[in-house]
Amino acid sequence: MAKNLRKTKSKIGKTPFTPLTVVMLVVLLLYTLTLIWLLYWGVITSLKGRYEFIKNTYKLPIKAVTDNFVTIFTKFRIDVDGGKSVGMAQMYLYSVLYAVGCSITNTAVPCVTAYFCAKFKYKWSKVMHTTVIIAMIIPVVGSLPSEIQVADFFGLRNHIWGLWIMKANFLGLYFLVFYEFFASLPDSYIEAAKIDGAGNVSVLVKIALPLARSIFFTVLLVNFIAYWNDYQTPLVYIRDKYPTAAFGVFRLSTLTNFPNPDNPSRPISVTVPIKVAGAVMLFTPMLVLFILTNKMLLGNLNVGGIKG
Amino acid sequence: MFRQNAEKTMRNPKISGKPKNGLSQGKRNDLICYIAFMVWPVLQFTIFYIAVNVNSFLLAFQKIDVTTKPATVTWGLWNFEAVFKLIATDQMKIRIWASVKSFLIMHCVSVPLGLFFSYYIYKKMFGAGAFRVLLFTPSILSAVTTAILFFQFADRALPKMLTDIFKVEDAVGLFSGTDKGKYAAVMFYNLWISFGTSVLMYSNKMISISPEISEAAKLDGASGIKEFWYVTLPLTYPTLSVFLITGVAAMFTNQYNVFSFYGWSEGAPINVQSIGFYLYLKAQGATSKAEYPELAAFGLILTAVAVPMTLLVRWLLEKFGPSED
Repeated sequence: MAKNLRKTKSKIGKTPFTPLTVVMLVVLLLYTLTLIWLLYWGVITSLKGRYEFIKNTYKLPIKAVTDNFVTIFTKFRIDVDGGKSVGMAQMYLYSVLYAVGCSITNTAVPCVTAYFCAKFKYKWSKVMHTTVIIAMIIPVVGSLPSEIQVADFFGLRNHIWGLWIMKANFLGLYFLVFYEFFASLPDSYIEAAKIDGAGNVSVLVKIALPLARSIFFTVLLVNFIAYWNDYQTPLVYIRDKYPTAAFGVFRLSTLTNFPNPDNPSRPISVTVPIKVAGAVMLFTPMLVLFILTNKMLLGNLNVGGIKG
Repeated sequence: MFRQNAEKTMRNPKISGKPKNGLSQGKRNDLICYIAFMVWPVLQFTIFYIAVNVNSFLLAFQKIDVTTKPATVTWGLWNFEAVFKLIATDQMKIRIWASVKSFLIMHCVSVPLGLFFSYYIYKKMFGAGAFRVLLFTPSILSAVTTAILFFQFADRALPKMLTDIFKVEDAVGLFSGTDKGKYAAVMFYNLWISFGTSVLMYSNKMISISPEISEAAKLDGASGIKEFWYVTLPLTYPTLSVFLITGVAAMFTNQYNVFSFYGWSEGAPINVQSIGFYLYLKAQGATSKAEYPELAAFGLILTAVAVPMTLLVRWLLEKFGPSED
């Protein structure tokens, strides 16, 4: 019975082909083919030696080698303050600290703030909600120099925790996503819990947050991926002490050679396969994460209109 | 007697939880908890939004002399003079035109295509699920990784492929040819990676449209483009307008990934450089505080242009956009 119902539903949902949808199918097929091809090309190129790439730029490697990855992982270093240098393993560690910390603060703060604004009908809640919308609508251009000055003033620069604090804001699209969810949550849930003796914090932790966990983890994941991939913020704020893997790969892509720790008189040339191997090293963890979580990631985000 | 006692008890603030000022114990607890949880977001907003922007405004009128100790600050309009002179230079005019042109290309191509792709996914056509995942893939990859792959492929492998497979003679890499070719390559890349988040949001919004509305439209003879235009688009409009309104400032902030392609080297051809790229390049590379005021003044002038433009776009979208009714 249930099987028949599912079949009927899926038949209703499907639409026959029209000239428009055929054109769209062709465009989509071409688009996805180029995307897959580029990733495939990246992987095969990263497995080629310097001389093989010159002769064979787009076909499968005759002899696949992992030397490029080994070279990046063991020999590529970035100089940091204090006369020290940082290798790729440490850059990965800094990436994890940066991405995990910032994604937690940048998800938890809008989530909790949205809950209080949606469920506590004070005038201030309306002010906060309007502030988010105004901040989204009113564009501010060129405030980076001032932001750097403020970060310097509070001693936040060159600290990963400094960026956690700077990212712990409630502004942005995700506040509205959480707000819409909590506003649609029936008040009776909260009232029932309060009759049973629960306090406001208990209601938040034991009822509201578990109900919002699906959206919370989706936003957390989106933020984690964004911070893992971000190299421009670490470049401005923490590159002199805690270079992240994304910054390291960017730095690698701008070099023609880097010092060889085993033989200082013979620097290592940054060839195309080495640059591409760096890119593959950076995107592989995110690609695996996306393959594992794409259903959750793609299903839970929805945004309504801006009402001022 | 019992009633009198009960009333007396209820009037006792300690027992009834209702103090003389009329705020019950429960409501007072609510207020205390609310304030406690609002302290951080308000403090953070005050420092990193209000203070940053007020400081940016003040910075625009300052001249910082770092040769003295401590650095001395004088106030005036020199930065604005300098910025207006900068804007009048041929190089900056080219950058401004590149920003406007790129913005228009992105919106005229990416938005309609994104909507059509979303409609395809919403209608569950052939391979819709797989396309949804694949369209989002560039969004989970770092701009620096896709830029490296695209740059190297377009510059090294593509000419060789064109020569070997299609027998094209003298094929050159997209980033090794003319400046126009480089601009085309950068814009193609930006369009190519632009669909992820917008398609996800549009298609999720379309999926939330009640199937009855779609069925009713079909019964009325609206299908294909008609259904898209008269039913799906108006109901997706709130989400679309969010992207359009918040995207206006992108004209001055979007770097169009030029920094990911060319880095610090300033080797990017001038016709490829956007205002967003220029501002970021200068701010991250500033060697002393003395360089900040001019950038802040430039930002303030651009904000003064972007704010009315955003409000105008919002007004136009509200006035002439389709209605959900």
